[in-house]
Amino acid sequence: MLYPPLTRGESSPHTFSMSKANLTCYSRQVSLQIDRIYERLTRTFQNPVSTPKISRALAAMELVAPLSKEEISRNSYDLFRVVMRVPISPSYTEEKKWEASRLALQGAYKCDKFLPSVEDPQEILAFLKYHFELAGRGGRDHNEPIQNALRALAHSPGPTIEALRHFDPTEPSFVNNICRLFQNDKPPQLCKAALLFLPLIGDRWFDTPHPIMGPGQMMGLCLDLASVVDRFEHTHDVQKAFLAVLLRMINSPYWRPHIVPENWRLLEYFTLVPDDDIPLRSCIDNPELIDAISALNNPEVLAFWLVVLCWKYEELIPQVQKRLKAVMKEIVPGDNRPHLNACLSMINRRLKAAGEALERSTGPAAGDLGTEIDNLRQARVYLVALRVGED
Amino acid sequence: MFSAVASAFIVDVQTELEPDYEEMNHALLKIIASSALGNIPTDADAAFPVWNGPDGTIIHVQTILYSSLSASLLAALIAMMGKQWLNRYASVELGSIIERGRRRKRKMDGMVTWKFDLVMECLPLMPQVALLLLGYALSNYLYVTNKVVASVVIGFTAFGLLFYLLIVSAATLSYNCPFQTPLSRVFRFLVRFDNEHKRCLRRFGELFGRCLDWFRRKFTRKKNRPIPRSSGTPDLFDWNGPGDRTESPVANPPGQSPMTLNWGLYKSDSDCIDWTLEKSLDADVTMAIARVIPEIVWHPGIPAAPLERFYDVLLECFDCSSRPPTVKQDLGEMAYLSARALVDMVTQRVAFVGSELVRAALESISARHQTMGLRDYEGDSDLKSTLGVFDHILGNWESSTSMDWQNFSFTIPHHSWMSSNLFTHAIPALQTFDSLPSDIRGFIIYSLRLDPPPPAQIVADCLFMIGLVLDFQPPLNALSSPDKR
Repeated sequence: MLYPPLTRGESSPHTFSMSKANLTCYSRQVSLQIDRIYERLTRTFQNPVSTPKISRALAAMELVAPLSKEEISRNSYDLFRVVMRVPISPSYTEEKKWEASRLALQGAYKCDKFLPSVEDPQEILAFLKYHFELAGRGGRDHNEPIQNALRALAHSPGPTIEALRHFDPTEPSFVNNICRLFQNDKPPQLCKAALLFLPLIGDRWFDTPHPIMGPGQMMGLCLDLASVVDRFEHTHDVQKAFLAVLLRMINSPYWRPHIVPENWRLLEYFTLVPDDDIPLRSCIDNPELIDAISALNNPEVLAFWLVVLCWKYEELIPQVQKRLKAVMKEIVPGDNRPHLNACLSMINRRLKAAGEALERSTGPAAGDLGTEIDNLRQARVYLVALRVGED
Repeated sequence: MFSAVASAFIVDVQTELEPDYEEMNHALLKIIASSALGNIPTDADAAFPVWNGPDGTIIHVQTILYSSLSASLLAALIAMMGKQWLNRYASVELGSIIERGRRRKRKMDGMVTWKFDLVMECLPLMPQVALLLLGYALSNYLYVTNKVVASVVIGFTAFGLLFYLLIVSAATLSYNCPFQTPLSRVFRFLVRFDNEHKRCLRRFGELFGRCLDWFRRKFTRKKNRPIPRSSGTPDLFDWNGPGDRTESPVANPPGQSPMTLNWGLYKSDSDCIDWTLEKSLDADVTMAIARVIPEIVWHPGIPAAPLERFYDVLLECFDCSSRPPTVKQDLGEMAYLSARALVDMVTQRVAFVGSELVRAALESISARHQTMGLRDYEGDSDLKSTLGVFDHILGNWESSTSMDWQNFSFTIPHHSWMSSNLFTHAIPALQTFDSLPSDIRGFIIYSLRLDPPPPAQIVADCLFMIGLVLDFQPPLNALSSPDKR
């Protein structure tokens, strides 16, 4: 929110021409008070014997949770762990426990700016499961706790993937709940959180010998995914998540027929994928894939996929290399030129955007952008070669 | 008057500076008469009277009297000149307001540079000296003439002198002493007490205070009662009344942090406000006062706050014939400032003094009040929210229509003031309802949810309110910091 221009209070010397010393004093007071509040809250939940105290603690948590500050996020996550560990008692009922955990997780993961690392994803998975159950029963809106839990899990992929080994994400109710998060009536931030979480369970959902859901549901998810594409900003992590899911779907014979053109368009992010990315590796090592994509009769998609294969040509298995050459020969350059031009202009556009972003950024982000620019340049070389019909 | 009195005595004593021919004639006639009767005078009686000049005491007395007269006349001269100087300062000169202002400023600067006030303050010193000299001369003269008569004059002169010395001493030691004289000011300037002297003086003061207490207990039946405080109100302020600040009337004493509360200053601020409201009907003055009110801590040492007066000011800004009332044209700022001042005073008085003491004023206001916070006021969120809070204070925080914080768009100073005010309000509200009223909760959530976050002092106030929910003691500095918004 932007404040309107200052029209009142200028007459007072104390109004807002605050000295640096005063500002520092208030900032220090804020930090001290946050520490005191969380210390008291932690003590209350570690020894939850007094019902009025717990009620007051819950009221205080509800008030402090909306504040976006790093200390709040960090302390809230620590408090969440305390809340989840403390056993249920007559004064600390299950209802209060889940309410406290909801508020603590809201304080920790309400905004993208400050996301503490998850130490034990099992607790968050339990929390997520509980809120999925409640959401299934209807009544109160559970979007926010679910969003916070998914955001927390997606923010710490390593521990989450490890924890998911002891969790079944293909369980029908869980699958249904996740799929429901992409529906149009859900808030964009919830969809985004679900999308960022989806790659973590991608291998259990898409790389399976048998489909985990029926064709109708698969089609529905693909359509929902296509509809959420334009609902939030495509930041780097979103682009990566989209591509990871898409590559898993492409590689699956069950999912591939349901991918809609809006999803295929996301192949444009292929240069973001790291070299050791498992879904990409599986895709480019799949000899059937090139024919399957040819069969789609979508020249633009085929052009993209050929660029991807050309880009990774040195790493392709001989069988795929042979098939790629064959397909390239089959293509009449003139027929595919408009699509290749479209691909080329897209790559040029992304190169320009990445170059501008590189000028503004420093540190690890600059490193990522540098890699992306290298990949894009390399892809452009292949694309130009493809356009003029070179082998 | 001094000159006339001194002159009268001078004329009377003047005769003793010349030979007394009547007395000499009387002595000669006595010798002649005695000789004629055949009684030839002998020894001293036969000596012809010879004048050997005036008596030493008379010369001394007359010198002092002339000094007294000169001092009086000099004082009169300077007083006349002072009148001329002041006339020049007060003279109205032609020109634009800016030019006149500039000339007035130049004159004022000159007065400050040439210490005009000190010169004018020292003027009464001369008649005082003249009076002292007159008393001394008179005592001396009468002592020679008649000791009984002299004792009366000496007694009164000594009493006057002693009284004057005590007054000067008291005024030197205490800045707040009302019996200030230029001499005490000079003494205070000249005498810089070191710590040891101060300790001695403090000990002496304590001893004197104990004696005074003893006398008071002995002779005073009725003791002044402190302002009662409601039983439910926390004892937030360790109120001991305004301290005597000998060193400086305005600034905090050296070594005292600027965050330290200066109760006396708030008390004098409130007194100034009372006096100004009583003397002035100027709208600009009222607005200036309304701006200052939130900067004062209305602590228990302040006997009353001008609640009803400001409610009248608020009502004057509204057209109460429509329901709900509308703000009159061009009076939006006045309405806002008076409403803010009113809310601030009521909140502070309830929190710091107790609702019992403001109940009468609030009941009187409630009887006349119509709900004002429902109108949009052309998007003036500051005014609408202030009036809304005032409606709630007069009604009940829980039962009134809740404040729609999310739809407000505050200026930073107002937002900051609102957070400070609600924090003050939260203290008694928590005691009454055992939980924060929903409107205060709404305000905290609204403020903390802002992106980017509001200024640090608003966040601090919100966190202090959250602290109250967790039974933390309210921090005194935060409630009454000098930069109260």
